[in-house]
Amino acid sequence: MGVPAPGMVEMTETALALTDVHTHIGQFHILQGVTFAIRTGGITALVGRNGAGKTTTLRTIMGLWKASRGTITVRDRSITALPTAEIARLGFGYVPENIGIFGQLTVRENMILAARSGNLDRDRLARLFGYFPPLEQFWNMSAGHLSGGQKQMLSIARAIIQPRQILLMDEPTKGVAPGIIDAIVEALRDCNREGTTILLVEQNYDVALALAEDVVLMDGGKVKYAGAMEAFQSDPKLGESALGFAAALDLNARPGSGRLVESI
Amino acid sequence: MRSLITNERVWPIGLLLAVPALALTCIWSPGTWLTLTFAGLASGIMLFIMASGLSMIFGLMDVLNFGHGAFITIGAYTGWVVLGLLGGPVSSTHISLNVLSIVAASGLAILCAGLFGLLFERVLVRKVYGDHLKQILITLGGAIVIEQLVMMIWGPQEKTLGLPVGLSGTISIAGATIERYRVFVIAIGLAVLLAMHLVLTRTRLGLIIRAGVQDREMVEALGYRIDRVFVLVFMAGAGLAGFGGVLWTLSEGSLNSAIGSRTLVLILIVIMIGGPGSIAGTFVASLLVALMGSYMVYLAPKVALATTVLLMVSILMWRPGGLFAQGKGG
Repeated sequence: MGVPAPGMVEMTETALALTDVHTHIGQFHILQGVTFAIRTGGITALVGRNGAGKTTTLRTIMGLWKASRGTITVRDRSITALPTAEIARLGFGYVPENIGIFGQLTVRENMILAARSGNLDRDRLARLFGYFPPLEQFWNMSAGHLSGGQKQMLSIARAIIQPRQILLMDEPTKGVAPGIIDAIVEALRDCNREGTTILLVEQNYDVALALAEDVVLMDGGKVKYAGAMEAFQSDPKLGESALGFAAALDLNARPGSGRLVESI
Repeated sequence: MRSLITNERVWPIGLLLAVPALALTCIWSPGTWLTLTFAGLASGIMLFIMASGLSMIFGLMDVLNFGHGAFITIGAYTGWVVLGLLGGPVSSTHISLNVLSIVAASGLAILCAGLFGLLFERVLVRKVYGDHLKQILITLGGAIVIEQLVMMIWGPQEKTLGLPVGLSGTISIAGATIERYRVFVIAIGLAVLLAMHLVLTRTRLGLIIRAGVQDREMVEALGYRIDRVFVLVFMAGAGLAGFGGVLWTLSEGSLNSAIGSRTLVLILIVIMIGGPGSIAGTFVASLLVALMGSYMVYLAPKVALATTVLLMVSILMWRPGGLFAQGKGG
């Protein structure tokens, strides 16, 4: 698949669109008509309080939970009924909420599996080691023996071991140290520069703000806002309904507040 | 075998060594002990060959296949028929011809059992993914049908089967009498274990299987059709069960259509002890169960089967996920 060069991306094109998507898990009606679209080559933050349906949205896009109603399209092709593996092969990289690394496999084996072509691109691998040095250090170690932060690095490195069309990231910065967050932000920004569209579930306001131009706010399984980050920021009502996010907005407004926002 | 030597794996192997050591102190006759140990090892190897496929089937797709015994039956009867046709090579005094006859019988048994496995998966198991109760009922039902078909075709009588000449008889080592066939089986089993290890660690398919045992969803999210891999694993597991059926029949010297259902109980115990989805666990548990059985038949024949169950219960109380529990998730 060709990766568009930076600057050549048509910014109005839609990479991924959800239209009136409903998802049921058992008897629970989790997504209740989710509609939004993300721009090709853009970074969109998906925010909202716990239980808003963010993780379910990503899992439904990946086909891990099937939408009971509505359609999901990638570049105008419906993927709603496709098996997960076929969806992934359209060029998705996915970092799940539970990190999803294979603890019984080595770091190297995890990466080989993620590179669907079977070959690891040396240059790209070197770049990933640049962001996440422990992966090189523990290359042949069982991934299960890595620390929490290192597992998160592996999960992200695995998602971007090849150039992807779309990255779905479910809280990639959850529970990791500040230094690592910076590396993750850098890695995602670089991927975006090479043309990858990113949909990022993020509770860390600084990270979301640093990366995303667009934002989708969810609450109770519905989309409350979808649009530019700037408009979102300037509307206090929206921030209010994002709860945790509202606190972050206030904190951020204060001069000299730390780079990192805690306890969201 | 780098992956075998990690901390959490040291003590199951220690347990495996402790059983023969303890038995030696109880039996107090090195010759008898060695004979029993070889018998146990050979049975354990055959159990492993039959159980490993079922363990992977459960580990990979969470499918409870109570019909696995049917593949053993199919393999055993295929082997019996082929060896019956190969009268010459079987009774030849050339060991190479003897081995060749077993290779031919095993090859066809693996093929037949594997094809039945494919049919079984497509027709029955596929319909009941994700529902354990239905899996148990439908696979058990399928196995009964196959067993009855075998009985219809070949009759309920016990069939006898002699070992090829070169593999029958015994050899003497350090005062112990050891059947040649057992040495042959142990060698075969180690080759099968090595082949499995290489497939699982050196091939892409093996990586997908190992990863899939741990987190099926994530393997799919990386772009691999686990359901297609599962069909392959199911066929391979059925083929191995068929292979085990041939070896087992030759070891027993006789067979009837109940060989599969009889062996299934032991196989299920082995899988529970080893931890479903773990090849190393299935191997250690097979040897453990068979060695224990071999010693107990000598020491206290009346309670031999009970000790196997007792072994399972005590190990599961200790480690509920089995000796080599496969950590799901992170």
